Amino acid sequence: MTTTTERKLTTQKAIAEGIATEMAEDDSVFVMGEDVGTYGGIFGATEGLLDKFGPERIMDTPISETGFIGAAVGAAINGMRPIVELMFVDFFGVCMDQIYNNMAKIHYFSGGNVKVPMVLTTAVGGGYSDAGQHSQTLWGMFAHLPGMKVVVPSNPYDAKGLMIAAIRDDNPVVYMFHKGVLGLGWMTNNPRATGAVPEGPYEVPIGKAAVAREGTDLTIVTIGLSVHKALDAAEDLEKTGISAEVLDLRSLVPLDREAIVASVEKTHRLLVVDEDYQSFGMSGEVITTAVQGAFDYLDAPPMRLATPDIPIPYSHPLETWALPSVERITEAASTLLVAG
Amino acid sequence: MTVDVLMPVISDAGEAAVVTAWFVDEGQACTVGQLIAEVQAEKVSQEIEAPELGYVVDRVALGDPVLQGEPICRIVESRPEAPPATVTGPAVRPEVVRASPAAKRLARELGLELSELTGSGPEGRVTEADVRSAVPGSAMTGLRAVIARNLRQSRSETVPVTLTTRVLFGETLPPHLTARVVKATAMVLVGHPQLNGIRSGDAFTPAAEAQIALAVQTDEGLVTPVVRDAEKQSVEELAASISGLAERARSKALANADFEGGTFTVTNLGPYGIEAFTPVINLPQVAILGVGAARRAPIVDRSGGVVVGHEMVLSLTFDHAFIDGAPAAAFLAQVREALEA
Repeated sequence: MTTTTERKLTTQKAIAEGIATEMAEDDSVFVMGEDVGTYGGIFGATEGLLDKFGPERIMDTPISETGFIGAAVGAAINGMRPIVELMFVDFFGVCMDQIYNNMAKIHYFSGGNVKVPMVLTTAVGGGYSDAGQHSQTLWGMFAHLPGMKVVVPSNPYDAKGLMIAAIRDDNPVVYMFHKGVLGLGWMTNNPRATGAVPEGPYEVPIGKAAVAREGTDLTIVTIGLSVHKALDAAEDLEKTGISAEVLDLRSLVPLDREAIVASVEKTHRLLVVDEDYQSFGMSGEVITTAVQGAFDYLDAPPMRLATPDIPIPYSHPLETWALPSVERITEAASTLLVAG
Repeated sequence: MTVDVLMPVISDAGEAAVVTAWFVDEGQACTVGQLIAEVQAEKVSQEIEAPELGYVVDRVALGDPVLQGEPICRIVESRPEAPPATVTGPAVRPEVVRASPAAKRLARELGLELSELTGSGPEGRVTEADVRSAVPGSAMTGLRAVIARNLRQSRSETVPVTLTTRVLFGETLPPHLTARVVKATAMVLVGHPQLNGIRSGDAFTPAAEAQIALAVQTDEGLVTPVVRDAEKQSVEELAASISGLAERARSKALANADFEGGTFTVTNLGPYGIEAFTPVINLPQVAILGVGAARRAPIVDRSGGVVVGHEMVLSLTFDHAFIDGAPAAAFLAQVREALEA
């Protein structure tokens, strides 16, 4: 018998609780990264863990991403289940060889004989004037490189469930949390960053999208903070009589293509909203999926609203212009429905 | 003077040789001694130079056998006429019926010919809604479905009552009648806040200013963009604003913002000669004014005589759940007086 609880957490606390839940169950799980111990992670994803589990299992590292991510790959190969945090995804440049040549490929090179059951956590996303080296999402790039699962929770329930699923998965998983969905006091207040989270362990399956809102007139496929914006836009659209379905992909690898196709077969119109760069990324992949799987159901050319192919501006007005907004989602959806 | 350029006798006259390359186009000018072709007989190649100044015409095709000693082209003095455009013109795109995949699938299922349907989408693309509308009784999609849902919601959530009044004009009708009605409505509404605003469930929020939504018929259906600050504009300015708005609505150039913030709607069926009607309230507003046709009519003047004038019926539909009959009637009477003044 299951019991439900209305206990609420922020997404950041839900991530830390997911890690703690698995650490209590499994001694092979440990955490490494910059400021994950005493500071609790600069975005709070490891808050309180040092006190619970001690410095042997919650390890602050020097500023050497190549060193500690490489160490995590080695530990995973030798039977541990490391969680290693890359503070900002924008910093991937120095350590990408460890990520995409070792973490992502060793299980393949060894014919499946060597497993790399590690979780690479990283903060993504902009909207708070942190400029072009601290504001990118880059999930499209990690999803493009074969060998890694990629998950991006948008709410507290999924954050905990996906973290537990990622730790238990025998494959390397990149776990990307958007700074705007964490419920941090210093970010823009976001009511959708707080929600009910069950106390015990549970998994949200990797590779399964969720219908965040049901609708009949068009499908908005998105991920991360843009899920919140799409839900806000859907509320605005409802006032003008337009019923938008919002599909939260939750995982990019594996991509839940069946869910995309099923929703487009229902609504016949597709808008993809992506905070990642527009070209060669998630939006093109989702649209291809819809065109291949639901071609006979499309009543208008699929549309996308993504960050243009420019570095994310520091200037707040320019950044606001560049990133998908509630207003622009609403406008794009209206255009798709009326003029499509 | 015309000169034949001959295939040279390379091996044996009477045996065939071929042109392996042309260095001038058909009709192109050449000078004396200019390299114009390369020919080959057996395994021997030879370059051909132009013997005269002129234009190269009647070139034989590459690889076609030509007897040695026979002409491979001619050089003429005057510029030949340009070849027909179809030879070198851009490729003509094949005629296709533009239709969305969903429209094609539905037409196939229903046994309809897409070419017989009128497309309402961009560049005349046939949409699913166009196919459905060609079949009586089939489900609605797109803007039609949105309109239907909104109107049904209005019917089920309001208690509509319609009042009519007759506005009298003289023998000469004032110009820009729609603009005059919109302006008069906006001015009078400011003194009748219970008709001017937005409801949410049972709560009504009166608006500080009157922003008039105007019903505009487009190819896809009825839309209601908002005329901003009507009472602050002159009748002429307002008439221009209204025709601009209607034009942008019909060319689908309206933005989402153009539909936002309406507090009251005016709908005009006068151009169709309709006298009076019962318009449906445009939720979340609580009242709508229908404008009928201005028609020549006998009018009884103050002295009791009958003169030729014009009359026009205004039809006010309001939600009786929110507004009582007397204040609604008082509003309509003031609009009439403002128009007759």
